[in-house]
Amino acid sequence: MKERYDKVEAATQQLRTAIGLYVGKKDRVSAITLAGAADSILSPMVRLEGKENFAQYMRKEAVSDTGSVMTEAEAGRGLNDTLKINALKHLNRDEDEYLDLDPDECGLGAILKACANFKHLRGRRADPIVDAFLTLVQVKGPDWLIAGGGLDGLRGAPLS
Amino acid sequence: MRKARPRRSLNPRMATIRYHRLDIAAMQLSTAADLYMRGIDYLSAITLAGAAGAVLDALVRRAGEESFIDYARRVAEAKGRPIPGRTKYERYVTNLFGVLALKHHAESDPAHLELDARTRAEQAIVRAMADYIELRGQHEPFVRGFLAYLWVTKNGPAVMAAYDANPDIVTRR
Repeated sequence: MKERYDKVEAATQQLRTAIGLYVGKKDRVSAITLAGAADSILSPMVRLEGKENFAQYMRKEAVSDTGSVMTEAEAGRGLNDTLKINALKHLNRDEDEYLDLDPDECGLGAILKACANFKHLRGRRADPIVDAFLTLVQVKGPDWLIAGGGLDGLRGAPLS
Repeated sequence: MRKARPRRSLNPRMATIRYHRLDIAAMQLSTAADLYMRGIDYLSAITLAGAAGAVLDALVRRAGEESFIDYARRVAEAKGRPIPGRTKYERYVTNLFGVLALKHHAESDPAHLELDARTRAEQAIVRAMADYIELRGQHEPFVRGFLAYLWVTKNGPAVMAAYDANPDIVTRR
């Protein structure tokens, strides 16, 4: 049966699942794909609302820091290439069948990028999972999450 | 799965691993099937199966085999319809499953999408799974689990009886 989905809601659902896969250490590669897909909706939505999205912010910072001249599209593509988002959903004719990837670092980066755009669009508190994830990053730090804190690390451990 | 090989990175904290794309597609497909069968998140299942499907399609063709997309094009031909172009047909299929709408938004796109998420997730997984089986067979637990799920929920014996009774069926090369 066909149902109607608001695209921001569809993106948020994918972002929540990405966070669940990442924090639970179930499948951090798929977390990158889902966070990347969510952000591909959230990022243009932020721009359409007349606000500055994460890629625009990064481009501005790069221009100010290094004098680099790049378009917004180049900045967005550069971020996605660094996080291997595109490489996980395409295999072009001339591309290698092997891919060097750090799912822990790239997963965290992809999720945080999508969270930044979500926060700009709807406000941090608009989704409890996004809010909880950002709180976890702030309180426990990214290294704790990357090193395998996740749900296992939460068992019996105080949050401060 | 192929054994992952750790590699040195410029960032000492990074633990870069070399993956074969088939192993990456297997992870995405396994998670998609899990999300679908447990009814957790059909939209994410579509996105993951769509990503796996695109990579698997390329890998099957590199292996010199017929991919699901090419098989489906041949079915259209056998039914007397003109053979759709490969790129056009692949885009049609990914559009139909909702894959593009769930990973892309352009200024001119509507702010909503309409789809039967459960059905489209199942179809997107079947498409990717068909290509995965072409490369690795069907012995892995996530493949066997998904096929068993379809056998039970889609009345496998009745489907096979209809298949056997149809002499004009187009089989995969």
